[in-house]
Amino acid sequence: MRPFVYERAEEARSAVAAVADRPDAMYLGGGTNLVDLMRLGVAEPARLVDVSRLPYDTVGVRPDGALRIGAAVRNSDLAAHPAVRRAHPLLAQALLAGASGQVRNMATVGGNLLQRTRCAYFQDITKPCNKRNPGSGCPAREGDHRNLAIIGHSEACVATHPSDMAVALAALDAVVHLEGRDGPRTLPLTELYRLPGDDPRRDTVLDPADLITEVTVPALSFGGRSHYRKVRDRASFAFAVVSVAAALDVAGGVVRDCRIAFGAIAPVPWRARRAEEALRGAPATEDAFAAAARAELGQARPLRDNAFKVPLARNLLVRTLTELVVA
Amino acid sequence: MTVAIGEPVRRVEARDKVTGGARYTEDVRAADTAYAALVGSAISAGRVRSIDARQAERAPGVLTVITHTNRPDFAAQPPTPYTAEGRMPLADDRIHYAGQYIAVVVAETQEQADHAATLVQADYQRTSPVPTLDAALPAAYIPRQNGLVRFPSEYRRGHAETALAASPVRLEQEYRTATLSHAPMEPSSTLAYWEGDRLTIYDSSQAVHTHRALVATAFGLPEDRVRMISSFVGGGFGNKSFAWPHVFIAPMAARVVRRPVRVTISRKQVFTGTGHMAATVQAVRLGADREGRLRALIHDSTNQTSFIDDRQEGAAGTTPYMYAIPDVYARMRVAKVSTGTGGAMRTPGDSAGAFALESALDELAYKIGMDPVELRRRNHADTDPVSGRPWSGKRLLACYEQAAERFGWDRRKAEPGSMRDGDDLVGYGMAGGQRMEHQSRARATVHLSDEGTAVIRSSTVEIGGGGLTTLSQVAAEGLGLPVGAVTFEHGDTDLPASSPTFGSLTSGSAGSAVRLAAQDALRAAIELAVGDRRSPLHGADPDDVVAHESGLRLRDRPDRAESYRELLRRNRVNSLRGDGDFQPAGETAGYAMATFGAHFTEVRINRHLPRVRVVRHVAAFSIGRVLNARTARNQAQGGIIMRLGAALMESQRPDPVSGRFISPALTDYHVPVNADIGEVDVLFVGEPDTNANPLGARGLGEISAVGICASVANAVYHATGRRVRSLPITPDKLL
Amino acid sequence: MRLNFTVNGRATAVDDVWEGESLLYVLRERAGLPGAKNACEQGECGSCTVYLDGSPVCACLVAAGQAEGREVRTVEGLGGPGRLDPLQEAFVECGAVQCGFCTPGLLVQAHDLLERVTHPSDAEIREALAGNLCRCTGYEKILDAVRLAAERKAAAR
Repeated sequence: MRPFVYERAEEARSAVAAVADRPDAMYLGGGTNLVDLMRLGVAEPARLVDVSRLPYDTVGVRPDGALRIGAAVRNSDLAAHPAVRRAHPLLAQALLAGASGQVRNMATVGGNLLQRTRCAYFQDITKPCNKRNPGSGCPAREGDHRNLAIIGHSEACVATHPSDMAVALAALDAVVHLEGRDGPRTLPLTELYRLPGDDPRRDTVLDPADLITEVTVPALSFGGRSHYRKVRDRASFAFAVVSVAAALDVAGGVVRDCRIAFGAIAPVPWRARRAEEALRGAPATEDAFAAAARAELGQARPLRDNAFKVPLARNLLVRTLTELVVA
Repeated sequence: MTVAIGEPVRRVEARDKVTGGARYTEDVRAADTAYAALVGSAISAGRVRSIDARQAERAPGVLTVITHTNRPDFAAQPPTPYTAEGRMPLADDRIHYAGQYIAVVVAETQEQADHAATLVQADYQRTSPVPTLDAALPAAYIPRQNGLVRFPSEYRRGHAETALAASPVRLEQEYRTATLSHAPMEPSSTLAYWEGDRLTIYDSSQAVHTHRALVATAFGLPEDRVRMISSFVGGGFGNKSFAWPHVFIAPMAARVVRRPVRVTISRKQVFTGTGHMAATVQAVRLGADREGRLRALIHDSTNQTSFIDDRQEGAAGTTPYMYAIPDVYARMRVAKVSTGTGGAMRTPGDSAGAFALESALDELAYKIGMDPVELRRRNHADTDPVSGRPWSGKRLLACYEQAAERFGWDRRKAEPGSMRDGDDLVGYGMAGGQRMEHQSRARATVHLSDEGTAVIRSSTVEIGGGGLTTLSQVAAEGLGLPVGAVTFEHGDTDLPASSPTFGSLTSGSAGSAVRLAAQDALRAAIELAVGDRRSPLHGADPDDVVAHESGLRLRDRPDRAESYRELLRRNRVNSLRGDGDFQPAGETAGYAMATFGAHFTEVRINRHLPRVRVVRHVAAFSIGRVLNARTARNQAQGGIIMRLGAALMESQRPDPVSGRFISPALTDYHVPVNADIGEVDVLFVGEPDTNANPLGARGLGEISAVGICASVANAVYHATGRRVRSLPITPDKLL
Repeated sequence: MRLNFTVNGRATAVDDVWEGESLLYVLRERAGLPGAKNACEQGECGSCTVYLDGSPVCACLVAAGQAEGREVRTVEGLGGPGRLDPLQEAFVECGAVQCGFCTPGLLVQAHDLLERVTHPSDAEIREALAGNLCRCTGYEKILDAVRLAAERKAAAR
């Protein structure tokens, strides 16, 4: 690991100032991804500004029912929070589907959102990778890509976003609160992430000095009828092969409203707006769910060895929605 | 008579292991130690044109950087296969696989060495790698030396092709197994220091005497100048059966910096630098009649090997011994891939081979509409089909019967896809397994003290299998002592040379040595007693004296007895020494020896989201005498779960372009986690097999992991009607 | 830098810590506590699990500086002087230990589970321990041991 200077931030403004002045400085949250990437040589910050003890460590409910989640809240604490479990079960489920108990005890909400891809080529500095080393090429296209993207990817990059939590938050129209060079601002979570296009270097639209301070989740009347499901290669402690976050509002056998996002199929947490559109007003039947899945996954352009993700994502969505109807 | 063998005695070292007190190699501290980090090649084939180590040498704490250009010479290349690679580390500029060590950075602390290692710049001249077994297959060949494998590369009995052509029912299929990693929890570690020309090595070795000889050869030393110590090993499975390059690097670096040097390899280097089970492609052709009698079998296996070594996986080695088939042909070839040399991983040859053969038998059973258990019964080999000799304690039929009953095999509906539970497809599968037993010379001493305690001294290594406990039980029973009165000095070349702790040798070979040593100590005690006027046993026929409750007594006269303590103290003898030297009878024994198993598996597969869950597995083993019911059951469960991993998730996939392992990390190389496990039940059908050895025990570690993959794949077929012939059975293969 | 923290109830100061060192490294190489094991360095296996301010974490992923002023409890601190924690007892009794390398981290993680949940179901135990890889045992005896410890701890309450 490259030597670095460690400093602990006492408040957000000074943290932003500490990073804004130095292009080689980075924020450190729970460290579960960044420390790992530093060991791998993928991240080589010369200065770490520890923001894990900033006072953004609480979860609250606003009068309008929206959840306010501090960016330094640990994943395990958020998953256990009664308001989350009651109003947004899919968020609690997504959190508990991620990593292991030990890692969830360390990982922060802000850090979880900013995880880097688990693409094996990205993680190995001896290999080419356009995300890590722009212009060096993407060996994953011809190489091993069984668990990489089927949608939203580009010639330059076929990586997927690894977070479970972000998939649930994408479905829930979460808003990210930032402290930046020019003061505070907000951003819808789905606009935080960017597709790779021909410049896969940056996963998000953030400036390096932007500090996530809070995430808000607006109240959702049918948030209680929601579910996060994840298919992986073993029963636990594995990144998703495909996941889905869904909330469903059904009345009289008809879908009034819904929220759907997929994980592990795209470079970003994939909000499935086409599927949602196809479902609103449709009968709450397996056929309609399958049609909604087709509406979304029709855009998929799988690679040589990951075409199985298309039927898997379809089945996962249909099963999840079907179970939500029964529930 | 104290009965200790077979009892579920608690593990003797368990307390140390639950308090953090057990010392593994990386926990050993030596004053003034320097730490090494190993730099691996970024390419998988080619040459190192140059290495620029200047930046690394200037980094804080760095003592030296050693490369092929400035390394000291080794005295000799010690023999393979127990020297894992037939090339000494840093030998020259040639690169045979990615991760091959090209430089060694030694620094004051591990963190400094690790950092400086990232600063070593290598300039490579690349050549075209052979990335995969498929790419290498056209150039497959029968190796001249077959290294580890104890079977001929080609075996023929009768005329298999002719018999196959004449068979009314024929089946021909190809099966594939993935490259697998042992993934022990402990990464290998070596701490070496020199005192003049004496070398001491602490090493996470499964076989200290075996490896010491290799190190001595490499450094041109007589063996007695080298001491190797392996206290506790954090998981072996064959991973530490060989001396991998780091074992030679540590003493080399220690000589250069004139300080103790510790090398602990990284987790990634566990995957690239300490072997694996090589991927195989296996063609199986079966001929049978309509009543299920096998007439012909051809088993043709090819495994990948490295450009350094010809290392066979041995997948067709046991095949000729398994069933009573008149015409058999088996062949084992290798094909060179730009990857590291494979090792021996639980269970070498047989795990991969049984997947192919036992899957093929299942396919045949469906083809002729016969119960798969019945098919195996009909072809049972009552005697060894290769040598014609009787088996020493084969109870495979009992394994089938008892495991099937425990499992509830009679509830199986034969039709694939016919058993359902809601959205779950339910499948029952079974398979058999066999491992040819071998034995090795092993020595031990037992010292019986005037405290009424005993000390076993033997270089066997505790790798987790429970050998310290079971061998303590053997000594305790032999001397009539409670197990708690026996202590163990182990894992050190200063002790009598035991058998290596691999190849399922501990129970049979090391155990026999301890038994002989205990008998020898007992004999000495009896001699002392019968010759001692003051002993109640004075003048007795030594054959009538037996060990009893920490002492001796006449077999038929309980009143004529005395304790060891009284006997030895009265005679002013501090301790009596017993020597055990077990030499296997080998081919002269008149018996064929093997271990056997039967597996029954229930899988459940959601028909929409087809991840295979093994909810129930029942196994029965025929291994002779079980030395400790508790450690045996647990060891077998571990072997079964390790192979469930191979069946369902484990695969060290090569990059199809470079041949590098794509996922040398535990996040991507999935091994089963706690949440993957269903019910696993283990039965032992055996009784003491005294033909095998004085103890009547055969090995368990390896047979426990043979046949599981086929049992799972057969259950998956039964559940889904889909035959998966390529491991692992991941969800994508069932969609 | 100097690191001040509490380990197994004792205030500890360690000098000359390099920022890049992990908490695991500090514990093993500087504080004389090799119980937590160095097995993957990447949070992939759980062998280095220790309590940090009362929550189990992978010590390999905690940058040394992040431990400043905090409380650490390792496997060495689970029992009392000469006395095993009931969970440690249960591991010995049930035969939940084979090679033992995963055991220290597993004990801390299971200990935390039993602090939080009095009567965990089998599924809860299996999921709670999913981050602790074990390559030897096949996990069954570990499950038995945690169940047994849960019963005994509940009875003692």
